[in-house]
Amino acid sequence: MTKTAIDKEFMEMIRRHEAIIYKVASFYTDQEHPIGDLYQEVVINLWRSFSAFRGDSKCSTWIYRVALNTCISFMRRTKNRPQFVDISMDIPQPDDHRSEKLKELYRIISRLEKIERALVLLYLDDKSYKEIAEITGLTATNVATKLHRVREKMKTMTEN
Amino acid sequence: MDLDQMKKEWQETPLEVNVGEEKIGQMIGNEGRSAFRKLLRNEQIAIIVAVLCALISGIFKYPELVWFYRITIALGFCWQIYKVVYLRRVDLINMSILEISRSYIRYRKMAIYEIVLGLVWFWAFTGLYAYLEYIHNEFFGIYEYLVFGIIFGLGFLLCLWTIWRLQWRHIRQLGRSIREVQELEKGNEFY
Repeated sequence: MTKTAIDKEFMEMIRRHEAIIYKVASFYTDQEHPIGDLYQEVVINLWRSFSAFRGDSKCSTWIYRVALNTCISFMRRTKNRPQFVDISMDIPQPDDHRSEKLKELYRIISRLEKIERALVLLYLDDKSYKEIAEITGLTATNVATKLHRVREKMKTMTEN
Repeated sequence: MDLDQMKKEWQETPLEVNVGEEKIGQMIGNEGRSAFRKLLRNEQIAIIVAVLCALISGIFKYPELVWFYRITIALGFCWQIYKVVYLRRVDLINMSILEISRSYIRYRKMAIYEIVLGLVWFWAFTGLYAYLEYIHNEFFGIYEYLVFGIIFGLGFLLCLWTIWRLQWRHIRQLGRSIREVQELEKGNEFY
């Protein structure tokens, strides 16, 4: 396959799955890690691994895995970041959501641990326990148990 | 908040992400400057710095100090090599979230140890230098005591301040992440 064809295929894949990248980035953004920076880091890592993607798993599963791994391990040592492209106008901030419920969800999410956030996101996106297990490296039974605990934790957080 | 109720609303909320192909192209063009690559490059640069530091070891006039410096620089060099090899093994594409979290936590721990050890090294080096000056230099007077006292005191305060900052900003967060991963690992073993 020529480079142009690969570029085209990659662009098409990003276009089809940009909501996944955005959702993952929105779950891990904070003051130190702007959503645009996380989004771009994910795109770069997807690009680096695109040629190695053999289609063993579903494309969306692969994107979730790379995106979550990138956001969980994202380390930037300097706030001076000229390398990032300004996409602030192209992607909404998590707070832009109109629904109060969603705003509340983001507030609670920001207080959860990193892997807990991943579990919640995958659950909200209607992934099966098997798929969640494949992405997270947990057993399906462990996923169910942890999700139950996270649910309880979120309820307590809301009550408090 | 009920997660099951939230699920419906979450899925029905439209998302308007519209990053154009041109900008995606620019992002890909920045591949070599991604945060991970930059981190790896910084660690590799530190290896070169360690070599350069080793080359200037001759500037110290006391053999004890030269040996202390050379041995610690050699250890630092090995440590840097280990970190680079470790980072190169981190595979964002094929590792699971649990594995990545484990690697990330371990690297953060290494970084924290490194800062603390670096400060202790600075403190020990200054102390040894002051001691050697004291026993070898017959003109070691009040002025020299004052200069070394200030450097030594500042080094100590820097240690305390850094550890305090790390404690509040990073170590507590890291501790929570470690507990989270350990708990998940236990769950995996159990089932």
